[in-house]
Amino acid sequence: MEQRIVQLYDTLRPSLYRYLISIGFSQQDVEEVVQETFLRLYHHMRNGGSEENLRAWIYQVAHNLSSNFRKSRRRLVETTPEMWEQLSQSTFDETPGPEEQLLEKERYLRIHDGLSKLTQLQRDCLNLRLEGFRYREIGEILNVGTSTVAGSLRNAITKLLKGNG
Amino acid sequence: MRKRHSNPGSAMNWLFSGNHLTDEGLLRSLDGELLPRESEFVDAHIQSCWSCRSRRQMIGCCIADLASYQNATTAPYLPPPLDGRAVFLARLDALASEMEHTSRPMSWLDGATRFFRLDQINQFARIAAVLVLLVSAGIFYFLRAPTVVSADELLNLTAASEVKSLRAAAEPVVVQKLRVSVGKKSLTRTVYRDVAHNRIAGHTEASGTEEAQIKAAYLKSSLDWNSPLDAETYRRWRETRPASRDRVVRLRDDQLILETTYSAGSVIEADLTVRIADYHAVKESFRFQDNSEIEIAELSYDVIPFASAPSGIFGVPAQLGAVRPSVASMRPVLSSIAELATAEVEVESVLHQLGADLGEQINIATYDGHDVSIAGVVSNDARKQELVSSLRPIPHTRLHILTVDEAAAQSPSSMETNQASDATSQVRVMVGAPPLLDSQLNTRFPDKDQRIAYVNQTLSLAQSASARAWALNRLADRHPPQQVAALDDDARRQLQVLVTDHVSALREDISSLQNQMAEILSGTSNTPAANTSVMTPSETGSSDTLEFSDDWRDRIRRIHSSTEAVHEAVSALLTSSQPSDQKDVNAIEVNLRTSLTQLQTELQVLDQKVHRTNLK
Repeated sequence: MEQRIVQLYDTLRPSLYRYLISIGFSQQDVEEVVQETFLRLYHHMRNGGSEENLRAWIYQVAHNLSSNFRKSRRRLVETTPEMWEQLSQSTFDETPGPEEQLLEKERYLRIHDGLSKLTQLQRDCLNLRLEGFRYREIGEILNVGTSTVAGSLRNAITKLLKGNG
Repeated sequence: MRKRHSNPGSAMNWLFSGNHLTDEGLLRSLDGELLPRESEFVDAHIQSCWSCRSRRQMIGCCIADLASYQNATTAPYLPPPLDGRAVFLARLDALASEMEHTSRPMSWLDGATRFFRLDQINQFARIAAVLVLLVSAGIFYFLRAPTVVSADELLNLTAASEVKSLRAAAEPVVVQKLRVSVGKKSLTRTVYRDVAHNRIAGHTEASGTEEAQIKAAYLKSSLDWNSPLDAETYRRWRETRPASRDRVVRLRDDQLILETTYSAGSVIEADLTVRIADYHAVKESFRFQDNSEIEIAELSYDVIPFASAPSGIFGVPAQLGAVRPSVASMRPVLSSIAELATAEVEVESVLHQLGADLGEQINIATYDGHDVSIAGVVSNDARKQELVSSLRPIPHTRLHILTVDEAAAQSPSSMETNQASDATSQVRVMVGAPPLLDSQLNTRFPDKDQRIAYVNQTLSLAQSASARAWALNRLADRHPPQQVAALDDDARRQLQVLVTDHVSALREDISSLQNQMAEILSGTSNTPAANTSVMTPSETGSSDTLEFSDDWRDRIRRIHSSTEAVHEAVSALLTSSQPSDQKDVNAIEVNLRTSLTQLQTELQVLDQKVHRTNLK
């Protein structure tokens, strides 16, 4: 049983880690949430809990834990002015010319600005969709209906497109 | 072109708005969330409609941008660092071990719960089950079985029982009379153990040949002739065997037996019998693959003062013809609470001197009632050697300190990915809105370098304060009143120095932080003088002793909480934040001022209390 948990931990930790970072957690807090999630998974499996779609189960628990964490810590995305300056002076990847770099930077800033105007539910739906979850799974993780997920994604994309325009 | 789709039917109306597909229809189509028939229909429409095709392409580009943005913002943090994995494995082991102890009763309860929930079980079966449960409960009550204990708990209790029995005499000597049987041969053996001087002697009532044969059987099975009926020896022996299985059962009204079976090796079964009344070990036996058996049964057990022991039994064997003294390694006994508490304070002092108590990944715990366990992962071998050489001389400690590389070697699967992370983990680029106090920062420090230096210095102070408060909080958690009460004067003074040191450093950090923040916060109430409320001695509480009052621990917890709040507030004001939080800037400023004021007061009172405390 422990071996199985370790196997799942090794397999799913990077994507869960990325997901939690992308929703604004610091590295230290992410590690705490990830570990707690897999310890709960062990508890769940030891008590004979369902093993159907464990990936969705793990994200659901991590999501709930992170919600509680957010409430108690009000953890924000931390960026010092230094890093902030860095953003305006650097690019995220190695695109060939300065013009492309500038365009890419502007695009990311626009997306960031657009994301900040979405509701929490819309952001959660987008992030989980980016993790490859189906609408039904997203609904289970966030404890909402599939139609709510579809509506949230539609509204999120519409808002982002308007921001781009 | 006028009508781009044939009538889709009412079930698919939601896909269209006028002559075009809705955004949701297009998005679902891209996400593969349409029914096969809907999907076919949408694809057919897109083939013929330029407008919908172009909108679908735009949505696709938006999704691609999002994915690219997420990759870019998370890439510096991936793959996850390795040290977290080592901590997780340790936590998982601890949880598994904890659940092992509690799983049996819970699984019964769970099974019973499920049984009674099943709808298909008829009424008769339910009544029968209730009756069986009632009868079982009656039998259980009649037998008055003792609390079920695990094998490890039983061994702990037995070891503790022996330690307790030694308190019966000053300079205790244990006199134990045993009957040792190997097959049909048996002998009576009297063992004397001088606990204070770590010596053992004894004599047997048997011929030299018989004793030699029985000793040979012992040696063949790797059993310890000098530690009969000893829980710790049993535990160690059991741990060196291949996969074993334990079972604790009630033997008679007044005895429990721990049976351990082995799947491989010469010994197939071992058991240790203890009295329920005091968990004293009275018998043990070992069965071998050839069906032979060694059994050791206690005939008597006494603890006498050294002065009452036969004269010269440990030093002059010639005085008693049959006495065969031998110096053997003393069986390990449980450390007393005082010894463990003192060892822990020593450990904390060493860690403090080495600056390893300010958030470095080093955990302190009490291991199984025997030792103080110090476990952690440190950055390099030099740091490990520094810690190990300083901690090793402290008695009753168990060290498990690894370097990051050693921890990596224990988990090769993620080694590769984590090495890659080292290079990227230093780079942290996240997109954020300007700091909440951006305009104040720009006004006060028009020069960019000065601005950055100011922010870094302030954040560093807040982090340092947070680390100090964390260290204090750990001291408060690790030293409850009963633990402090067990400390001798020196250890208590050592603890006092630790607390004082952290309090003084934290006061300096908070004072500097307050001065720093005063440079950019508006208003006058944030000056250090305005926030420092000097407490009178009467306000500091009447208790003078750490051991009789837990007030210092509560105060430390409040200090920890306030320091965390200050850290968060400073981060929120000086670093970037979500735009939606900008409206909270006034509230954050007020909270920061309040927390700083509270901290000044709490720290002053704690400092006075710790300095005035009479530890004698």
